[in-house]
Amino acid sequence: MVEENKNSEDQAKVLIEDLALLEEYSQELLSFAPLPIFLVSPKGVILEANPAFEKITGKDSYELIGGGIEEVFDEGMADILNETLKKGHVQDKEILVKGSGDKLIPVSVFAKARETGGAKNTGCFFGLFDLTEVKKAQEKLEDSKNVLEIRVAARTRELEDLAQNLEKNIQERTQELEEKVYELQKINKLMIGRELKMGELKEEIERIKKNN
Amino acid sequence: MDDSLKEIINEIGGLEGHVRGDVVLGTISCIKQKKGEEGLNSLIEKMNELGYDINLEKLKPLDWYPESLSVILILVAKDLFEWQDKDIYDLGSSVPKYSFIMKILIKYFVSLEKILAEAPKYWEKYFDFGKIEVVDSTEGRVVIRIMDYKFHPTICTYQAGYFSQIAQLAIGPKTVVVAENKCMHKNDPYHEYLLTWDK
Repeated sequence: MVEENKNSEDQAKVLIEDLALLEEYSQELLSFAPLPIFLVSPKGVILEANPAFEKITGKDSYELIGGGIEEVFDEGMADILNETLKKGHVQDKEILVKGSGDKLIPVSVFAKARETGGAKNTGCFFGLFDLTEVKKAQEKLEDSKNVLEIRVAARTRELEDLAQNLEKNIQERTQELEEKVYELQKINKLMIGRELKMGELKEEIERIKKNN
Repeated sequence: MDDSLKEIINEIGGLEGHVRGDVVLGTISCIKQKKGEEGLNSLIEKMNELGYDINLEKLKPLDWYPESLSVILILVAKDLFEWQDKDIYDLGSSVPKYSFIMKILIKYFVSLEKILAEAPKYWEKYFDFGKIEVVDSTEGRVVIRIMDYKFHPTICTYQAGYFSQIAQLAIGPKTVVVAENKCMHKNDPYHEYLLTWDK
């Protein structure tokens, strides 16, 4: 009996040590994660927050834990929580986080409903992806696209003008050449006519000489 | 520190009962958050002077420690930082935010009814003595009794804060008001807390 108790105590001690190590591990992992991660109860109360979430909200865990998610997000977070609890997960939903100094930070939300010890919907894990740099890059890309479109339109107009001018020049030159050809044909015709007349006159002269 | 507090500490030091390190660590984390690293170091120094060696590296959330250590830590902090009851209430309400055991028990936080139903088990995970009973629970109102727990009246304020936070975590961001209607330090047979909030 005493031996059995001792074995149970030893086993409990080992399990407690393992659990403590597991807790250290999960804390280290959460602290290391560069993405904001937090845990929310089904009622929308923040129960856990990692340093990246503290950084993006400008609040420490002391302020965050126990508070409602709607205090941290601009609007629509309650709907995302309800959808997560209903569907089990949501992916890539855009929302605004209230950062320090009332700054609104665009983020993409990923969430998963928790199942703990057989109990469903015991809360939700949330992960955020900061879209600030992506949005900046998108804006730059949009600006570049607009500038490029303006440049292309201007260049197209230039080319169209150039083509129109060329067409006009060709038409003018063609007309000029046609006129010259006509002139040449006219001269040629006159020359041929004169040559023919000269031939006739020569023949006339020969005939008169013979008759005399 | 006056002699009367030293006497109280000596008296409490002799009381039996254990608590998980999680509570001590939670209290220490909250004190560090409120008073900074320097404040915490001065508190630990004070505890060492009184003969209570607090080694933060060695404190484990799931190990058992004398409840007297947890209580004396709060009393010395109250004396050192000249805290009022409101500060002690805030301290108690902040502890669950840092609790590892609370994270394990998070499955009960789906509703207040679930937490109340599991409260005795919750208590047993934290303490190896005393017990908790939920004697009344209606919409916006809960009555809790703590039996066989008598250390110091300051801890009643601390526990009131603690219960308010647990209720808030379950019901959402509402203001919970806690009143201690019966107290073992006033010769009542148990402590009785009334928790109320807007429906």
